Amino acid sequence: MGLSMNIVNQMVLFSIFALSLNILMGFAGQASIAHAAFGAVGGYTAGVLGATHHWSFPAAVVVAFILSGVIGVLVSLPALRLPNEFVILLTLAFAYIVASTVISIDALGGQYGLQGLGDISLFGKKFVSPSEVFILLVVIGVIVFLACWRLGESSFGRVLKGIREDELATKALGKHTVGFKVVAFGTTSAVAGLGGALFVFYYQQVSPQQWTLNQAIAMIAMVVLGGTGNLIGSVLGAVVITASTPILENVVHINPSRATFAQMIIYGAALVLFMMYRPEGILRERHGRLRAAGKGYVEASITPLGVGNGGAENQQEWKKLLDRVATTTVQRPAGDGVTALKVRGLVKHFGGIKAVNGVDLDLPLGKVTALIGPNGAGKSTLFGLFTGFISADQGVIEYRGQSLRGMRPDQIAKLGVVRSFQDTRLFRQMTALENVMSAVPGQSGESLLSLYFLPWKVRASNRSAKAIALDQLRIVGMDRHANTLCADLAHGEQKLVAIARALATGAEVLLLDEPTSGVDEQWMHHVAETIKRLPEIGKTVCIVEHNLAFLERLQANCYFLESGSVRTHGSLRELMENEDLRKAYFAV
Amino acid sequence: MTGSEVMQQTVNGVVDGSTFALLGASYSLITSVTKRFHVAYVATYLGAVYAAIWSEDHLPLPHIGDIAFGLVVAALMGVLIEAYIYRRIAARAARRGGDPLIPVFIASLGLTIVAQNVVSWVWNTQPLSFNLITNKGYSLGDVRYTKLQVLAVLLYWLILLALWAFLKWTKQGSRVTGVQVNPQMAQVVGINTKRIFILVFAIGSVLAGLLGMFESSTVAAQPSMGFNAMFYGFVVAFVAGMERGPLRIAVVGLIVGLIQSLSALWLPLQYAPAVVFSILLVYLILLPTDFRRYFTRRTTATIT
Repeated sequence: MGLSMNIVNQMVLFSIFALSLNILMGFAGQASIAHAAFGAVGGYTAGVLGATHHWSFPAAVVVAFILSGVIGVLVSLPALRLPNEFVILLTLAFAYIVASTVISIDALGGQYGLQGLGDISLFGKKFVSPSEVFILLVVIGVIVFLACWRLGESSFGRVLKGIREDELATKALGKHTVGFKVVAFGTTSAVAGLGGALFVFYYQQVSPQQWTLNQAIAMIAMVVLGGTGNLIGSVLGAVVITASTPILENVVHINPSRATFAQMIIYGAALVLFMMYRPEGILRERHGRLRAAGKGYVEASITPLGVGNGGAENQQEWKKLLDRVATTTVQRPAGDGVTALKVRGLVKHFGGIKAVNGVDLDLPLGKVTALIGPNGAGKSTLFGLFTGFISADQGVIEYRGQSLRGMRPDQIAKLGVVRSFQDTRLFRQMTALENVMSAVPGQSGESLLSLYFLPWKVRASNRSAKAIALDQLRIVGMDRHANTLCADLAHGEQKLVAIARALATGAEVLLLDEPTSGVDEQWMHHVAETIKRLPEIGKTVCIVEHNLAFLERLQANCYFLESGSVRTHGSLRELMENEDLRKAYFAV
Repeated sequence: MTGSEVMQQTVNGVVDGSTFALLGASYSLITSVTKRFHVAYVATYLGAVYAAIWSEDHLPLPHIGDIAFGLVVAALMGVLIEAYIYRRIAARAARRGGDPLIPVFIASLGLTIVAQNVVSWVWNTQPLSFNLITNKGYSLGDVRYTKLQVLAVLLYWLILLALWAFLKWTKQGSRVTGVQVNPQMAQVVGINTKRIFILVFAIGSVLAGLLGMFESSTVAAQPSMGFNAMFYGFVVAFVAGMERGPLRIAVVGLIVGLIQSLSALWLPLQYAPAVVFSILLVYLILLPTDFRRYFTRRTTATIT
């Protein structure tokens, strides 16, 4: 009984590690080899406080939790603004350093560690036998599970998944991705530290052998085998992997000294095979789906605009929808009331290539403007420059009088200038609804404080985000695909969802990069009508487009770009009258 | 600290630094060309040494034959890992529109622990002796050095030069550089990128195996070896800039080795890794944009 209870307790302890690691790996897409090292930070903190300074169990555990979190933030800070390779490298380095320093510091007990941490007691109750400790561990384990679940299923978790799928696109929606990653890293390190502290109190000793690279790999195996992005999977992974030791020793009768090798060979081979044949793990990731008859969900789509068959009722419905979407609470800079975006003398050279070479243009408030010109004229580069993804060499970019130069993409998006991408950059392993919801600004669930302490506020905010997202999907006629994974949508449908996602940011200025390429005829007309109506709800639109019929419909003011400069501008009709242009570009 | 202490540490630093140089160059050859996060470098490092030990016990080969056998095994391991595991995982991830980085990394980690534990299972975890050559110690004044160290330094720099010449002057070398700089373009002009990947895995793995044999001759062969080597190779390659030529990486390796070795004049020996870690950390914080290009290229190319 004592032995088996011991194994059950180990399962609970490892679940705590696996759950927190899954938030980092499965949700945020950041691999870490340092999870055991953060367990060591927590374990040694608890060890020093408990064994050397005779602190009580709860005090030592709380300090271990906080200190691991702080160290997690400090360690990750330099790497998180860089691509994932650096995070892996840094966690590897950190694991390495922790392993070599704990052995060499005398106060930590060197090779043998520290023994005798004091009783596990809480509120005057002592937990001595494994079955008594089990109750405490399960309570803590359930709390950790619920906390991770809450995080993963919230708007915060949605942003983390967005970072995993496409960090750049997440930035473009106005999310400060580095901030989210730091919080995720800090929180999961803190939970690993908590796990470490509980672990060493349970065993009444802390030693370097508890926190080796093998342990870190076992934790990764738990997450990967159970299913990345699925928290129940992590518990399953922890249970299966922890159970493998006694099974190998007692059922298969492998010599205990060799059982560890067998076990590690099995983990390793399983990691390889899973990555080759089932990278998602045993349990698949869950997706927030709408129940078909859920509250506030109207099944019937609106008849597309621009195909003649709408009728007065449909028009009425449209007006209502657009009015709903128009309400915004975002404070915008005052500006001169005429120009949304003012660009003067903008220059960007890539080495010898003059991608943008002295561009002047204005996007008037509440109007649709188009950028046209041959490939390589610098149209998309301009969008990159306007939204801070590319830094300009020279020139002025002002939104309502406020300079955008030097601002981060997410700051610009929050201020009210948002772009879409030619290749959509949707979050492929998320549903259309999740994609659009993740763009809704100012969700309470993106703050950990609200998430855990103001649940009613988060619930209300979540409901309104869902309603906004559904409205946006209805605008582009994609509400019937709300529950579909974007990876399963056709290209044209993805384009429409991408427009809905850009709209959901609530930005005033929308920069749409070829919004209709690959969209079928009927929906193209619909998109044209929708874009035409956006000024009615206070939007300023700038599109890059090659389809002349589409531009004709929009009656936009066009800027003709060539080799990084504005050659001329005016209505499409005026541009067509220019003999040279007609020959060079319109080919008529 | 005396003058001879400084001299001794400088000599040690040159030996360590030359090792780091070759580690960095071989590691970056694989990583910069294939973009695989190849932790299983450790497996090939280990594989060569234990294959040579096995050959010593079981095959009627001369000593040089055992060494060659070990190196061939390392090359085969690298090639098979790429051809049958990494390539499939990357293709699968690409089909799903995901980044293959993490799946490949996890599989690589898996391969590494399989290799370490298979070795532990067969040979146990006790250190074994495996010597490339019969070693001999010399001293020059108070400064001591060994025959093995001299051989290592000479051989490593010769290989680095050869690697540099190969990449710069041969047709196959310029194909490797082509794939490294722009894989899509390389494919367009008719370079078989799969074959180039196989080639760099073969070269990188042979070098890993050779470095493993030197380590086991200096200390001893043990199943836990290789991780340190990979870590140093990694840091050196990252700090130098992955896409740089082998000579620049080699110079950075030499400098890291000297800094680490000379730091032992002021700090206890066990803090040596902390010194390297600090170099890495400072570098990550102050990262020049030029260096970041290697990793950001992928993203900037697609946002415009």
